[in-house]
Amino acid sequence: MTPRTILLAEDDRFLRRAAEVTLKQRGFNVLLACDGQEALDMARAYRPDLLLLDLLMPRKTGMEVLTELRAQPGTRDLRVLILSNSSKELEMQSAKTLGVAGYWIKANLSLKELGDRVTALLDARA
Amino acid sequence: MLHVRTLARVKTIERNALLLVAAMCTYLIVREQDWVREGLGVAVDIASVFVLVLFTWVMLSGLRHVRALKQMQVDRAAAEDARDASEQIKADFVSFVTHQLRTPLAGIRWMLELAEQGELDEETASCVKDARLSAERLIALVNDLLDVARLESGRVLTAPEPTAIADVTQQVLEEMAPLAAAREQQVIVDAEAVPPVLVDPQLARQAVLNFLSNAIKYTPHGGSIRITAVRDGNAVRWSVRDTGIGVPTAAQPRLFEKFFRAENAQIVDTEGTGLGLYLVRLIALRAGGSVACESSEGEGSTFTLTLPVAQERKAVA
Repeated sequence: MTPRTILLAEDDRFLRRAAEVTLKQRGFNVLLACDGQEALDMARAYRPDLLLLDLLMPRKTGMEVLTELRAQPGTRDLRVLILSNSSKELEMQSAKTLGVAGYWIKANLSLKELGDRVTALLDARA
Repeated sequence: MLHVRTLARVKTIERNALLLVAAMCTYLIVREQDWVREGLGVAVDIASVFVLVLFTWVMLSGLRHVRALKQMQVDRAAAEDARDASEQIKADFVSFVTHQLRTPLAGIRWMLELAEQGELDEETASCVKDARLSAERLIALVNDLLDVARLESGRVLTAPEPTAIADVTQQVLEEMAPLAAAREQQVIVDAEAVPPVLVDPQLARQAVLNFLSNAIKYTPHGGSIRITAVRDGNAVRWSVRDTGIGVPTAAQPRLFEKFFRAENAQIVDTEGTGLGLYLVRLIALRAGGSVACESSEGEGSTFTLTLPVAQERKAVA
């Protein structure tokens, strides 16, 4: 079985590294994007099985990336999971409207929980 | 937009001024009649002077009064705008700080978790674990502060809906089961037979969690915890009774205050923030309910959360 591909968009290098290690340990193929523009370009180019999207990033915010992805037929159905540290209700509502598989607060998850949840999410996919 | 009461007062003054002008005109007309002049003579002229002075004085007073009322209204509107602006600033600040604190804290937590996977001798492993637990405590504190700030501000969006408190209790119990089991505590629940309450389910979960985690924390090994829910008129009273350290009488009136911790509680748990019960109180008040505590030091406590019953909506055809 070909390993599934996750695109991780995260500008904080510590969080990026820790999440990358964990996801690789779980057997996923992990691509990294350090800012919003890179995330958008890579999502379009690679069409990953899952996009883990931070909200506050340079060049383009997570919301802008999500909006643009949903506007294009090729990436409209891309599975996106928001990984943020912001609890702003407005953002949660906007994300919900644009369609996301979840909105998780990074600080409230251990790496183990992150790995478990992502695995469960991708395993549950038909 | 003038305040209703001010508008009424301005209208009264305007009406009185009109009446006064009408009376003045009548007086001036009557004064010129021959029969009045002949009958009263000079007295009419003297009276005229007084009337004129009185009239002018009353009209000017009225004008000043109206101007003062309008100024008051302008000031009140400005104060409201200022207050809204400062609430917005506070909300933005809280959002920003929460996010900024959470990011490096998550970094510390995750990095320590990775370090724990490495080969560490026992002592190092223990230090790393304690550091991770410290980070998790800080994260929990940031979450509590965020919840407090949001509930304290009048503007937070809550979504009250009919909620079965028994289901909420069950979910929270499942989360806390490992902890209670580790402390060999017996937890009994009797909360089925009550109607749904009108509350935001997330907030209900938070309130139940805070009460329950306190009960577990402050009850010694082998103790017991009993959760009940009863209907009381238009409300549901949900209670947790424990056999824990209890609350000293002196501390009871202050128990739900922000940052307050009873002395005996501080001995058992040096890490508490004093925000748990305060949050439950805020949640209860927001839902139109209340909180209460009955306790005997050394014997146990009963904490009660009262929430209004969700009124049934008529079915739409």
